[in-house]
Amino acid sequence: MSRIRIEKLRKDYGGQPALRGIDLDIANGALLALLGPSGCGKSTTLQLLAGFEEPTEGAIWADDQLLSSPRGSVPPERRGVSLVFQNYAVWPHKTVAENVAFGLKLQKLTAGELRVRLDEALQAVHLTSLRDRYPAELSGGQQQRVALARALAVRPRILLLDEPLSNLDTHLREEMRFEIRRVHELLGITTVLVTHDQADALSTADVVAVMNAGRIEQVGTPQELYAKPGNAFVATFIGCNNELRGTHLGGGRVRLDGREFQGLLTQELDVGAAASICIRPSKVLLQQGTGPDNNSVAGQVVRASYVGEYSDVLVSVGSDQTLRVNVSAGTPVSVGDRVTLCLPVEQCQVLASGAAE
Amino acid sequence: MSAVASTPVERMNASPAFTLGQRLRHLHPGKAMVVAVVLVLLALLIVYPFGWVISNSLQDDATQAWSVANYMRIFSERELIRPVLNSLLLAAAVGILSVLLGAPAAWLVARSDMPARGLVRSLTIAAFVTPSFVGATAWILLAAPNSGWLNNLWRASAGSDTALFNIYSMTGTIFVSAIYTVPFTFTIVSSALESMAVELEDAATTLGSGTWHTMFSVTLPLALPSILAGFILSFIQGVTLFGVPAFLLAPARTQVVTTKLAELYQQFPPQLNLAAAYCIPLLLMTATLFFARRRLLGRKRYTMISGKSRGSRRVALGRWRWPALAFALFVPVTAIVLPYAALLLVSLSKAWGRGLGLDNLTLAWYQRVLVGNVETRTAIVNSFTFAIAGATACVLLGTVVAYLVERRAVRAASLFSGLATLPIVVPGVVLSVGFFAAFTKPPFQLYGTAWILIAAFTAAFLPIAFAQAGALIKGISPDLERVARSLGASEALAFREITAPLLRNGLIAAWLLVFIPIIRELSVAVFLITSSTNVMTTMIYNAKDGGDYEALCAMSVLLILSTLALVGIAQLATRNTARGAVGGIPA
Repeated sequence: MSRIRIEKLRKDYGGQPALRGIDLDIANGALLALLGPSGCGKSTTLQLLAGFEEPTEGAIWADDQLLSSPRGSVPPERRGVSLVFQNYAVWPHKTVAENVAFGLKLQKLTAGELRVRLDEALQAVHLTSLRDRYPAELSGGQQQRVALARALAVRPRILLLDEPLSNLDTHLREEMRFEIRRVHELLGITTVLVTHDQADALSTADVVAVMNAGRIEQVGTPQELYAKPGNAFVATFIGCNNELRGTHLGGGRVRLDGREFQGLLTQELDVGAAASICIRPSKVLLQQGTGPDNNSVAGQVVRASYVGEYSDVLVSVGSDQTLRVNVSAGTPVSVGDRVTLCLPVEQCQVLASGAAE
Repeated sequence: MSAVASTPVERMNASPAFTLGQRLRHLHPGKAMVVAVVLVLLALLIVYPFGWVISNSLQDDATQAWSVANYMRIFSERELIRPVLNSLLLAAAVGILSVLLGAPAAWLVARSDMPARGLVRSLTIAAFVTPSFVGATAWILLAAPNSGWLNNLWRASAGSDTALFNIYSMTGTIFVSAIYTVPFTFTIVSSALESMAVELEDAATTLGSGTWHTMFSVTLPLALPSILAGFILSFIQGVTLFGVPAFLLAPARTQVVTTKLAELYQQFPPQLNLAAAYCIPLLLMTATLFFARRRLLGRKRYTMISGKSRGSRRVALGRWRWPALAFALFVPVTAIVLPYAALLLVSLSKAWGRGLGLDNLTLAWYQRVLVGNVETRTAIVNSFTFAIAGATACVLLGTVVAYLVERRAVRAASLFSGLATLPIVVPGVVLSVGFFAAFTKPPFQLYGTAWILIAAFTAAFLPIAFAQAGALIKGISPDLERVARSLGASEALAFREITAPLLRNGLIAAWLLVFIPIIRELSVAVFLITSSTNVMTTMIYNAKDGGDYEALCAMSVLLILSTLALVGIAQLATRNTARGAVGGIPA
């Protein structure tokens, strides 16, 4: 178990930056999620942590040991870092027990110790009864548990999980989230979980680092990120916020398309800076026809889909801006309706706009 | 080790930010050694002989002075131009016949309700693995103008004095070459037709198109790239064939490029440098055609996108079922049934001129070939020894190169894959010329040793092993090895424990796929053998003028039997691998 420190970590592939200098401090025993869209650099970070790649600049430390730097890296087999891959990477020619025992056999244990540790690991993920099966005879979820047991059996200092839930169906996915959390609490190994799914990250991690375009946008607890996103990218990525881009006029007033909106200012923001109004679809109020002028915008419904508890309505406001609105299922809305959307001031967050896409 | 890090290629690709010292530290010593050995082997087997062909072609035979005189002669001397034209004629005719016979047969087997489809398919595939020069030997027995059985039959039944067939002619050569080339077109076209989605045809049918209209407006255009690919492959075969024209055209005093090359070697004094120059047009032809085929197959890929085929519906032929079978049996009968029967009967006859009869039966020739005659016994032992050694070397080298390339373990991956694939465009005779030029003089005097033959076979069939191994390695996720690393295994241990066992079955199949063509290969060996390093194929080739046909046939039967047995084993092995892979390797 180790504290991980990442300092100014940078990685270029053939001159193209994949990671543009990130800093991260992961407390001993914490479960941190790296969350971001594909291509944001989260998998590169994981490869660097595992030691399969070397950084272009910067360093990775585990406690006081320098693991990676441009001058050289501790090879993967001597890092005490275990990996669980998205595709499980369970060896098809070895049984469940052989898979899990592989790392133990490399640890010069006595036969007795090895048996005890193997049984422990199988038990921890409820695989004892399947120990003599081959991977081809297991379901996806069971293979995932083999991968987890194999990674944990060697008692690593650090556990890396690369999109461990992406290949599972919805039901199994929820089960595995609890499983990862349960095993983490049981063993307390410093864990880094890579995912592009905000629900995976928020439900399992102590701390979430949101990444975008090779940088870390914000680090915080799930509650902090949800309630107080640091910028418009984090706000839209977590919680599916609507984003209206404009210019900050000071005091939380934002001008866009010649209109002004008032929102809550939760961070320092210069007058004249690019600013976005962020609001969740469920907080927008929809009204047929014209409505009040204050903090509202007129638009036309371009899509309305019924999703059970509510209807998901897409409204075109202005040239190329759209807003998503969730209305209660009974509300009569159809495509082409002219509507007014009210953005309650207390639900609008004024945030620095992310890099233009 | 330092030799590797400072090769020009490495230097070229090195990022300027890294100093030599830094890169040396990053290069694992074991891996660096493997890369170095592979580079040296590829250079010796491929670059070095090829370089000698080029350099020899630019030297005068008499004076050894540098000149382009050889090239001038190729394009001006009639006796050098004629064989090129003959080769083109042979190749074009073979290509056309291969399509005319192969494509309809492929359609009949893949998409019609013709009877005995399985039999036609297996016999056509058997023609694939029959060495064509053995077929030529058999057709001499069947259709030589004076003694051929078919001609005797014709004379006896029609009361004619003249021969019906003369196999010693351009027509005879085209015929024999074509029937052993049809399988190329047949397999390519039938696999294209089988993988074509029925939905594509159904779509046309639902729009009101009749069966035959659909065939000509949808099926045929979709199969066209594969038909063209079959034509090109057959054309390449026609240009590079050596055995058949050597057996059938030489008595008619007609030369093609490959037999002319052999003449330049065997005449006195030999004109080795002229021969080297004479290789270049041949090489250019095959290389151009190969790349044309590659582009076609590249395009073919999108026509073959099919999803899951629901098993195609077969077109009912009605009263044409039996005439269709007669047509489809043409190649099986002429390439397999008649030749095999002739070879078997002659090899079992005391003297084949005495005709059939119980008193003429004997196993003496087999006894002599296998036991009695030292030369044939040596040749059989040599064939197996060289094929085992060559196939093993091919698979080892091919696997290591494929691993380095697929796993991007080296910066210059395209150089490695390019070198390992290059021999595919080199005709066997040209390879033989190159190895003769490179390894019969210091520092590598290997002439007369087994090494020169093993090396030549390894170079010739490296592309097969490389492609097979590459496909296997592609199917094994690198994550499987990475997990082992993260659990404490070194790179070498991870390869040994994880990747190697997963590759094993597939590599056994790949080994057989290389072994079979080596044991039946003639042209690669033809300039490299000596009396002590003779193999079965060269033995048959050299014995053709001696008239000792009974022993020749016994030898041919043994060659065919051992090849067919191995094909059977290979098919079993590949089938097992395919089955094992289904549940095995995660995506």
